[in-house]
Amino acid sequence: MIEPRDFEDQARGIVGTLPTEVKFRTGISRAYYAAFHYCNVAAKTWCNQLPNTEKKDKGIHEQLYCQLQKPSNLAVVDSSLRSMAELAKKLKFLRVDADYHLDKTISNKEYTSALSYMSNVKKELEEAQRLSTSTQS
Amino acid sequence: MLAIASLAVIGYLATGADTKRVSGDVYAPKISLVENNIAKDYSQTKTHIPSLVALTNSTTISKARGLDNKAGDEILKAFNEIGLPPKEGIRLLEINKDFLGLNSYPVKKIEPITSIDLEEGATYLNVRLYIEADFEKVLELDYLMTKNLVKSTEYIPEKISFTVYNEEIV
Repeated sequence: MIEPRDFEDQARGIVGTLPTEVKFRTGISRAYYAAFHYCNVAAKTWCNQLPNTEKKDKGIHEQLYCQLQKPSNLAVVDSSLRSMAELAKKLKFLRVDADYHLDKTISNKEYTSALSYMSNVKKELEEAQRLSTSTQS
Repeated sequence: MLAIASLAVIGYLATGADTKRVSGDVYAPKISLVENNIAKDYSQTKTHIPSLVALTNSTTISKARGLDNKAGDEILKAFNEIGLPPKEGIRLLEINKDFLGLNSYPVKKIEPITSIDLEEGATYLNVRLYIEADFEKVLELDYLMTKNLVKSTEYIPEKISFTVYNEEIV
């Protein structure tokens, strides 16, 4: 089984010394899925299920971010979970451009932004884990 | 020639443009998004006037915000165009800047864009701020603003938001 970290490593390593637009695009896409799965880890750990009425008309990704934005079962981590959702949603916009909009130019700037969002999603997950641990002890 | 990475921040500021409809009940929760003394004072009493509200012309606005006089004129004009009293607009701009953590960044330009009437009776102002920062700083700022935004106990994902754009200005 692979971990979100494997997507993160792939996102960071893919461009290498010979950058091309297609590598930037692939890197952005992997960065998004690393962030998505970090969010999944957080949701499974602290979030409550969405009621069916709220799931309606929402895709899996949107449902996940909606879960993170609602009060969790550990109030002290709520702020971190909200940050994760907001950052992942921003990264999603980059990923949509990277995967679907071939007419747009995707450069190192978008790639760097994507890595930054991914890193900060992970940072917030680690912060939530730290807070959760210190609350329990 | 120096390239400046700028960013535009679009935020929704609760305004008092329609004082008859914007009751304390509606207004206070929006303002309490800002966890600072100005907001606290304002929600306690609307007659309390922070020093910024006393600003009356483009020169003093410019001086206070570190803008040149032309930018101050633009702010006044833009607020007038959308029917928002300039003093109120500037004060709310200040509150949002504090809230978003923008105070350490020099604002080069401020553009009030539109006001939006929401169902619950509050009026919102859509604002764009241009801030001088290099690319790394823009990324840091985006993160900082996100963290500040979500800290609020009144966080409303769909209504209070901002977007950071990286625009190269030469």
